[in-house]
Amino acid sequence: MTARYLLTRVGQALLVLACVAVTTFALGRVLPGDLATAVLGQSATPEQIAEFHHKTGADRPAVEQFWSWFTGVLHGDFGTSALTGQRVSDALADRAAPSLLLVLLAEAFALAVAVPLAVWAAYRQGRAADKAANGASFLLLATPQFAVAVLLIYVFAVRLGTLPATGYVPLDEDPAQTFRTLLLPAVTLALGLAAVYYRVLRAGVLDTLRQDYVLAARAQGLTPRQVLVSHTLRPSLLPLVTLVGLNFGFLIGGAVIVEQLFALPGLGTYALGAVQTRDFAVLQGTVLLIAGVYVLVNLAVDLLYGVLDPRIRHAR
Amino acid sequence: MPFDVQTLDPIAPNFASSMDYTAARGVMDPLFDVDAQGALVPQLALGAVASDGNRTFTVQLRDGVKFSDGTDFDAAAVIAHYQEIKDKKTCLGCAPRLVGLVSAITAKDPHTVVFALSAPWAEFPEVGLTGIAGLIPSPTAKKAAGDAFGRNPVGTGAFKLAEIAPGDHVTLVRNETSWLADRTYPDKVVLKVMLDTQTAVQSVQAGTIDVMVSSQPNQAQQAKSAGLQVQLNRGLAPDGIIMNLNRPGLDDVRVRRALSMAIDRQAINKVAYNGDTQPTTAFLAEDDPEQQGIGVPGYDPDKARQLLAEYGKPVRLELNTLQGSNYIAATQLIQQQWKAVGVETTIKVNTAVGIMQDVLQRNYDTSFSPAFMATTTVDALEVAFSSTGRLNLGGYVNKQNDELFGQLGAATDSAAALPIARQILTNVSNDVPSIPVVRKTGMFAASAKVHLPAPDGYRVDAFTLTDLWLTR
Repeated sequence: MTARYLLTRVGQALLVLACVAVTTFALGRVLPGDLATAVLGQSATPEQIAEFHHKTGADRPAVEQFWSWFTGVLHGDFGTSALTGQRVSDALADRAAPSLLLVLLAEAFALAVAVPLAVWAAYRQGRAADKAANGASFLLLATPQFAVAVLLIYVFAVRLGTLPATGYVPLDEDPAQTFRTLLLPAVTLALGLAAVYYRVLRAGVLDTLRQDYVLAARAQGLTPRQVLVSHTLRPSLLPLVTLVGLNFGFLIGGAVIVEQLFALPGLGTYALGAVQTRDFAVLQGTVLLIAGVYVLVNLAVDLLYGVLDPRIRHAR
Repeated sequence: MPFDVQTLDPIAPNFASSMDYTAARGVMDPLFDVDAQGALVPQLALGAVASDGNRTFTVQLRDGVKFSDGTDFDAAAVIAHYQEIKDKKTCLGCAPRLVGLVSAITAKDPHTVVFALSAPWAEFPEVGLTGIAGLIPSPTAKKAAGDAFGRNPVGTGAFKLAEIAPGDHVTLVRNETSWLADRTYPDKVVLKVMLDTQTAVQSVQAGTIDVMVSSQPNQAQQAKSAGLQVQLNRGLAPDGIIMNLNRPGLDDVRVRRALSMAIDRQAINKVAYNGDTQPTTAFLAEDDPEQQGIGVPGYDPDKARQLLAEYGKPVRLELNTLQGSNYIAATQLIQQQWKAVGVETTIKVNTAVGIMQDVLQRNYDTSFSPAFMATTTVDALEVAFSSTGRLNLGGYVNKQNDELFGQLGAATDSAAALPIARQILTNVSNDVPSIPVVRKTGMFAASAKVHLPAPDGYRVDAFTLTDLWLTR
């Protein structure tokens, strides 16, 4: 992997982020609705609305507003929510932690279930175990997330009383409690993810098992375990790695249902609230942060390709 | 709490939700509370005496009370607060007359305030010195914090703000120097934002939270089945349908009356609310002397068809409603009931902000949603139904009512005001500018160890935190 390649990818990532910043800002201006309505309410006079626009800078030219916001972002200042008066950077810091931890846990659980199951099912293709795993994955794919969440809460919080039903404890307060509060939401997300990952990886492993070099490995007398782990799994992982990267970026801001059901103060709910109230400072900051995570994760995924398949690395 | 927190400054324009109110009410005390019978209950004020034909009110304040920042609660604090309400004009929860009629606020002595009004207003103490307007902040803290007071509130209340995390929670801790300290039981209260009421009920069952609050009774049956204590709070105001009277069909009173007559409120209560609310045709509480015996036309589908036939043109309407709420089930029933008398409707499901924007821009036909003006007093009716009322969202005009509202303002006492108020309500009920459907109903659910407080006099989904305790 050359330094030039790395620099190119980082440059591309920064360009994407700049485009996201401009697009988000522009979208915020063309969306119908006005934050002044949400803040000042039904009976605001035109004078009060004008004063509000002046106070929040919304009456300045769009280019000036963008530049002021963008230079602030470069200094770590994402502005202030006109609705709550809270600094957006502070709010993002508070909300990024539960979202990141939730997605990390969910991805870890999903991969821990999907990878061994997919390899095993592919190896046992057509047998009862494979059919059972396929059926289970279809069931999980067809089950709505909210139904899984409500069921998990009922079983583990209400009936067994082993886990909290809702809420979040910050990591710096009590790491064990953080894990306990995130367990049910992470499992809710993970079940759906695991089903997708299982199907993608199983298909990849089946395809690889038909390759000549795998047949050659078998002919050399390697054990099934050696064939699967050393010769089959690694080349089959490429589509899965792509999917994991995409899902990671998506779930950082897209786990709104799970966040709301489990009362987690995450980025998804924060962004949704900002859209509903037209709180543009919050919306821009959240979208930019999510885009940043998206770009970073997918940069990491690109780099991982080269590790998983040296042919990709050498082709560059 | 099924709401986010926005600000704890009661006179900020975005002070709106029951979360804001419950937290602010814990930190700040009002001059008076109002009990279930509408009588004043002394809090920071001990009494209010009217004179000069209800044009002057002398309010005696409690002595020896301090704000949690150590400064004294006195007449200067009350004057500063009410002067700010008048000057800023941003307090949406304050009666408009408070800004319009209060002409001077002076201190007779450090613990006596005199309010001079430009016209008689018999109900000034009940309306002006209670609720949101009555919550007194520390003027020192307010001056220091400026616009940030909503995140750093200071009052005389039983609690102090420990932390405010928009989107997640507000933490209040016991204020040991409060005048209420010896009757405050919780050491700490965390008001947690929990938007999904179903998982909130499950959280109470699991013991993750102690009490859940909802502004609608949609989870009452689930909570009862789970063995929880459930308290249904019927409010003074109705929930109902607002109408844009500039739209074809809705500009004709026969159509509006027909729409009201087509609604089977009993069925809506039974099906959409599991029987947990109360059907109503009244704008105020049914037993209110001003309201008794008056209401918009009740269920009579035959008469509705007759009125629509007299109108003679097809009526097609859009009916807006709020996503994820009891309103949707009720709206679907209303759609069927209107169809049964020949009115075609399409339902538009929207967010709360989307609904408000449509309504404010007059970009709607009808809306069964929180946009319905909560009419708890005749003063609130003026805001909603006088032709220049700031919340007259449907364009309703009745010149006789405009004159009557003026006469009502000049009435020297309650006895003189009563017939005027009843005439206004009769006119409004005949004109049907909006349609009350059910009484606004909220609920609290808690496990057996919790003492459930009574709801606040003003909201079906808020309570006073000093009334809350756990049995150990």
